[in-house]
Amino acid sequence: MRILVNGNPEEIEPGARLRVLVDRLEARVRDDPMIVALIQKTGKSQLLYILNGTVVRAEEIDRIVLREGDDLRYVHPFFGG
Amino acid sequence: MKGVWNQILKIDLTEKKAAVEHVPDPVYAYFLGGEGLAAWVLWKECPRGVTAFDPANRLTLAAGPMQGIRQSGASKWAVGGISPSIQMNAGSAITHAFGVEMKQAGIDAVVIHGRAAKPVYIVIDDDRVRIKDASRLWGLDAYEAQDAIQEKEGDGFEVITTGQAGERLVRYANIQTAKKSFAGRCGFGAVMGSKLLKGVAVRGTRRCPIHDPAGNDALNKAINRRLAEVDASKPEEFRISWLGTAMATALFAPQGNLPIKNYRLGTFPEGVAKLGGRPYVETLNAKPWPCKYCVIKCHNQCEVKSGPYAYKGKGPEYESFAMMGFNLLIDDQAAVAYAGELANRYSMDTISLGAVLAWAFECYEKGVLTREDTYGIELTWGNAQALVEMTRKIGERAPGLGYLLGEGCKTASERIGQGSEDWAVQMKGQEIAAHNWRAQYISALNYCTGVASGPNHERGNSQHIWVGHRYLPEWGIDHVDNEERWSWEKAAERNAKFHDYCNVINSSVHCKFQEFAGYTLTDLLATINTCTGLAWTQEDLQRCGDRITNLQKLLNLRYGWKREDDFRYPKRFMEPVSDGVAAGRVPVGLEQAIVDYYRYRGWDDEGRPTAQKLSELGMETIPG
Repeated sequence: MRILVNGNPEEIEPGARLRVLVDRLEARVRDDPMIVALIQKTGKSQLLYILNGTVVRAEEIDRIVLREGDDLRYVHPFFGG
Repeated sequence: MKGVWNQILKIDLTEKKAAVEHVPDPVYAYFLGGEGLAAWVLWKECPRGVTAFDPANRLTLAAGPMQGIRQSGASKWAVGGISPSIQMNAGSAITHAFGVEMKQAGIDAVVIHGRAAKPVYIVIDDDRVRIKDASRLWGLDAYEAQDAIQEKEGDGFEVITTGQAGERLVRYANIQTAKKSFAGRCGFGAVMGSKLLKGVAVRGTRRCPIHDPAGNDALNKAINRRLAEVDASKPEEFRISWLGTAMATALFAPQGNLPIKNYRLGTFPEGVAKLGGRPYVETLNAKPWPCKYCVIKCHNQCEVKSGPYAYKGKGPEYESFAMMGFNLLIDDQAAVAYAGELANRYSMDTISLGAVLAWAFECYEKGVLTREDTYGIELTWGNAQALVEMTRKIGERAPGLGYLLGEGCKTASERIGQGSEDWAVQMKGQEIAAHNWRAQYISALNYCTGVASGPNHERGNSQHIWVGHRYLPEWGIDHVDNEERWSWEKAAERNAKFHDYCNVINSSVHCKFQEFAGYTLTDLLATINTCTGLAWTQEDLQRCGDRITNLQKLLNLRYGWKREDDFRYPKRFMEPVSDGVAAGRVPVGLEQAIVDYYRYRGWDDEGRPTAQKLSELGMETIPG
């Protein structure tokens, strides 16, 4: 099925949980020096996920089942001028 | 068109006259407002040959369609005119509530020209405009002047002022409002000084009609709620509301993005440990100081309770820590904060100030400047007291080095010579901000090709693709691999899109920092449409950004830009550092990347918009 990730279509198995997509997205950034530093410091990438306009709590990632047309955005913890 | 008043207030300080002028809809449909509107004013009214301190320069204070709505980030507004640092058209964004009050006074912009016979300040109270004597305010710092104006005029006014550096024409003098927000770059405080204008106070009571009030209200609530939730969901040390931009020092360090020792080193662990991060909250007692309607609250008020650097006021931003701390190898957080606030009171841009001082420190190290030149102050790396004392000397334009450094490091290095031009980290007369070209080559391309405000990290913030993982998915820029930091492939396209993106943000006007809490181009477009009724698509929005960029480029050409200016970049960035993740990296290939950028934009190889390009944008003639 097709869902939107940052506004772009992405294919995912029907019935897949959000965890599958999160793992896929985190794999893309795991070599990034900022993410590496964050994982070293905090144990996590600190990426934050917003599904259909609602912020997803970390404990919900394993429970949520994705649906066709879902709109997922992810936000990095960064802030700076 | 809704969301704008279709009128600007024009004030002639020479003739002491004010008049309201109609602006037709197509101007807004082309350039939105804010910096786009300020560029349009220059196009219409400021011919070739006008320079920054010429009375004919137009200092424009401009709102856009978003001012007056209750959305986080919508209290931003814009300043525009010819800049004393780059001697071309430029814009600078500033926030808090002045822009909202200006809009509520029934105008989209205030356009100030001429020069007063003696110091003045302007009071705009809905339809009533007065030009008042400011003789007794002249010589006050920016905060004192604000207090004096507010005390005199009474409650409800929002005020902008400039301090002594603006009066004394320091070429990087800024404009402040509310003792916390600054039109920092490009020297517009000095433009105020050149007009003998100390401040402007504005108060308004009208609400500008928008196209879809109910839709806009629902959108604002949803966006504000989401942004606040995103911030609250982060661990404390990554919350914007907890640390503001001071968070960035720790995140930029592992990327090699920080300016260290006048861009000569790749790491400064003492700085990372002490500047920003948790010490920012604990040592400086930082507390959120939000702008109107803002839910992410990046500004902080700080207090150092004792010691030589005791103060209470504005907390330093990332750029201040980077340029006045890391770039001078100073790791004393309280000293950097204190010097930053001193600069704020004088009205000096802390980015340029830090770069100018780093140039002077390097001159001192190399024997080009000696104690005789520096009032006996030891300009040694890491000397916090030297930072504070030299900030005073420049703010006061003390005869000798203090005066010279107020001209910026381009002029200073040309006067001092002895090879010091090689370590003046500036382009086109403006000092380079705290994003290291070696850490992501696109920063080099951005600074070389920027047309909105010369070399500027917030008029093309393409560095955020890597340093902040900020993408523009609606415009075709999504996840980018880390290794692409050091590649020119797609750099032209990405750079152009970020230039256009910054233009639509700075013309709507909205705060770019909201994006770090999840604000998207979809949010921006929906907001513009509910305000204006334009019913734009993302393609229309992009085209608007493209139009504004091309108008700015036409203005660059009018005010003397030449192709070679884009290629005269600081030599320092072609010298590799030996430590950190960017060790050994220099942006080789930059010249070709600049030409590729011209071509991507539809400009000729001389960097000029072609007739075909202007025709595609409907800019054979400029509306209005």
